Amino acid sequence: MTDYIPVVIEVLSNPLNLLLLVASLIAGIIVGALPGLTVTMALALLLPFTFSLPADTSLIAMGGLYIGGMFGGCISAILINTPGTPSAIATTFDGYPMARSGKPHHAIVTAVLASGIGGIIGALALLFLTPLLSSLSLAFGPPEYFWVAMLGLSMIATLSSGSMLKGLIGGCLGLLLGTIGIAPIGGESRFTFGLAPLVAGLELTVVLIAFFCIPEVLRIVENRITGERIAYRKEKGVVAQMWNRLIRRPFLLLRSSVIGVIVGIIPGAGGNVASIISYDAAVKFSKDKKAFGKGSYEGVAASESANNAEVGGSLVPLLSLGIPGAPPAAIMMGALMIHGITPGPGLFTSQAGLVYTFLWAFLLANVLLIVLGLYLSGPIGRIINIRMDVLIPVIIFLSTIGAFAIRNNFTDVVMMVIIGLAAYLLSRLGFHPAPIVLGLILGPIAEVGLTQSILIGQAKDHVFAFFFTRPVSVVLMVLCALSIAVPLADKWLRSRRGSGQRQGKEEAE
Amino acid sequence: MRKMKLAAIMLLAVLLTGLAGCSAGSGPAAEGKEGDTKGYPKHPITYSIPFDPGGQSDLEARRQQPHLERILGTSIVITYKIGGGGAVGWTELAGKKPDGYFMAGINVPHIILQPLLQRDAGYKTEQLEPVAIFQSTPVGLAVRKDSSIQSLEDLIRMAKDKPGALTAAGVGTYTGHHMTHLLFEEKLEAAIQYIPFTGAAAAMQSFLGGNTDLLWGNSNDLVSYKDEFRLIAIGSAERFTALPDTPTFIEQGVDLIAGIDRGVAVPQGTPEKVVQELEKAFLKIAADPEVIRQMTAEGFEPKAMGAAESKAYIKQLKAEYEPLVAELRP
Amino acid sequence: MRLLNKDVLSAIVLLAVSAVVYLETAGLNEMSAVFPRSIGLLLGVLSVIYLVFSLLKPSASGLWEGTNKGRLAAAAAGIAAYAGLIWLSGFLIASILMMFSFISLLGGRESRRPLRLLQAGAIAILVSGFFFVLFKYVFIVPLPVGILFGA
Repeated sequence: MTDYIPVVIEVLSNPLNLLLLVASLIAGIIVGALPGLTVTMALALLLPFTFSLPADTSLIAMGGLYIGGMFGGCISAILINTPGTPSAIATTFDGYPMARSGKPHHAIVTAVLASGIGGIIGALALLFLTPLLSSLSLAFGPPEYFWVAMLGLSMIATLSSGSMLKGLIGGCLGLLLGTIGIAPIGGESRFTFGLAPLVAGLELTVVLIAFFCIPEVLRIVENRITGERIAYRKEKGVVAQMWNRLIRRPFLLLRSSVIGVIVGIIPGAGGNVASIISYDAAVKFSKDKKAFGKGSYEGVAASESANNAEVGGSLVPLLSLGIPGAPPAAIMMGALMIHGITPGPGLFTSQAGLVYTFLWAFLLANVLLIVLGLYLSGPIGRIINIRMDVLIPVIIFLSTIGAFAIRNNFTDVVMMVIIGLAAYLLSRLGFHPAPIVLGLILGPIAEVGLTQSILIGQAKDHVFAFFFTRPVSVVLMVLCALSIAVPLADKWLRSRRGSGQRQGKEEAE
Repeated sequence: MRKMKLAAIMLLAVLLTGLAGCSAGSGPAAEGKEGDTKGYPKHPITYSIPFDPGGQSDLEARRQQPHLERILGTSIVITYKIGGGGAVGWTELAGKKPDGYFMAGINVPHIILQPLLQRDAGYKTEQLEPVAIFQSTPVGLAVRKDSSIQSLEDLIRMAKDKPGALTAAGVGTYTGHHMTHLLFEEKLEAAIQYIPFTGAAAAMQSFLGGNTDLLWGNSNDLVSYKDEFRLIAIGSAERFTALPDTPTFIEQGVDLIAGIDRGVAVPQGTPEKVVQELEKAFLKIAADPEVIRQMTAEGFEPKAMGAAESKAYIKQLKAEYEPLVAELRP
Repeated sequence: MRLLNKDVLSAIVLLAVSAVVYLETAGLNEMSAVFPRSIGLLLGVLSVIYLVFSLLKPSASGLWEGTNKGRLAAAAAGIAAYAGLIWLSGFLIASILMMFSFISLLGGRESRRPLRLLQAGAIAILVSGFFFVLFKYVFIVPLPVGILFGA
């Protein structure tokens, strides 16, 4: 049972392996920070080298790249309002306002600490709870996917900062944008209007850039603040300050990480869903709801700890069932196969040395991420100190190259420009990007769950029961109902109190 | 301040000369005339993958990459053009200059079915000139260990007792798995509900979780799970090397051969000499004993079909699918 | 005039969108149509509510109130022109030109002085060049060459 320990220590004390781990972490952070470059692509580039490297070394490098990439996405989310990877989507909600108010360093330190802690919790779950969690992963069938998507969509109630009606309309628009292209279950192409490039559907990264980056660029140019810089205040003791704040909210990090792990073990639901659901939970549990969206460190911490905990979660079905929970995990599976190792049931016993080496390296990588991230946070934060008239074209340039590189498709650049201009118009009309993007991310998950459930339910003659009686479904439905009811009740109570006060005033006059 | 200015000018000058050099260097290469096949290949060849990085097509290309570079004496650049179940990548291939410097992985029957079934697939099967087919994965049918279905006979009986009550998971609609399912129903004269999934992993997860009764799986996935499932039948012509205990459909009286083939193609109109050059390289790799050993162990069937043979094979399959497709899309 | 405010107009556009969704899904098979059609219907209902609200309580502010339309249009046109230029002359040249013109136009009059122009050029070339090399040769992204240079 414990005879793998010497192997683990031997491999992890090898300086070459450690060096490779650090290098792959840094490479991952760079890839993650640049929109359009994905961890999946970087892992594929690494793949040919793994032919010649030993299995443990290549797994260590791949793990480092994966973890680094998941963290790196927060850098561009905080600095330029564009998530470097879709997983950092909720980080933009508060990270960018923090940066704009002159606290990019605080935001990045928060992200580093939250990512590291989330990653460590994910790694511990992977290390000790894999058998337990793998059975939970199998409990998610089509109806459960549908309800998970609904749970995410219920967040529109929280996110609609202005009017709830406009939030709902935005959500519908996002869901419809997500249906462009070939229907995942029906198989027919929809809303392509005869244009072949639309058959593949809209790429999430392109839409994210269009919705978060282009309108922001237009706003800055239009407001004539181009000659200025964001007031970057250099402060000492940022790390200690943020650490103290986070440690006083242990439940925030723990809750977010648990959400991350659970979303991770559901194959097909990735870091973006984890970060959204966790952000939503943070808002709901917080006493100071008003602070969110305006630069709350809690929002950054919730999003970042969840998406890094998701990495550990996504490896659970891979190692225990042989089912890759996310595209990067699929490449790691490919690398294992090259070495003649088939992931799946029995891997933990047949390849104990390798698996535990990987798991401990994974844990170590998260610790290294904290050290490395804190070290780099100062210089990265200072990037924002560039004059706006230089920063703006660089942002346009990076968005464009990112939109192209994600699928090597020039049509995506054109789509980015068109959707970006439309997004600006929509935000002027009071339709905020968050609900629209939420619909786009969760739409396909909801549609697949819905249509598959209908098909299976029809075959078994009980569509209704299939949706509403399965235990995990029931739990998710209750969560959905609570998620919608709590903010509504809250709003209602507040408006009653508010109107009561107004009446009082009128009487006084 | 003066120094900075000078430095900036010098930097600019250096960069500009570098730039000019670059564009001059790529000039003649970009102008590579069609028809001029002597000394092919003169510069790097792009090998485009129409699926996600890390997928089977990518793994195969990465396995071939070093061999191709050695045989052809130039570098092979692997790029991705993802989307629409491959349609985006094949549309790009169909529109590329037919000079042999751009090739893409192809999957059969995908390249036959998409143009037949989708209004706006973007390409026609004939626009893709196959160079070689190097791998095949037979499709098999599995049930869980705890299932009451012990054999194909049980399955047929149950399907006929309660038409449409059994469910089978497979990958996608209008895909290889879907067509296999339809052919299977036709041969059985029984109804089984097909449940499409967005990928092999999703289908596997849902099947293992008990959401569907049956699973259509590719041989490589079935090989890694052979201890978890009961394999009812496999779609190869003869018993499959990696799964010697699994009977074929034909053995059990159902005339069904089903599989997915992987190969590589160039745009239509590529000079014959260039196709031959590429064909030679791919067939040489296909004959490499180490490549064959690896593929077999992973659960694939190594193949070595040349350009003409592949073309005839695709044509024959297309003729087989057309009547089936006509029923689906009246 | 009050009747045709921005909210009324966008509600009408949204209704049109839901009508298009309904018509487009009409010819599809059941499993392709069920989800978008339901969402389209929901959007239709919400748009009607939106229309009623905006007719009852027209918003006072116009769409472009308080914006500098000139600067906005210039920025939008600049981004669109950049995309067009990439298609025409390839990624590297387009990026250098875009960056150079944005830096020298955004910075105000002061940025048109020779030294600042030179600086702008150097930044444009360095940044574009660095990322061009990174994407093209390290991450093997086939960046567009532009139709002027045959591709």
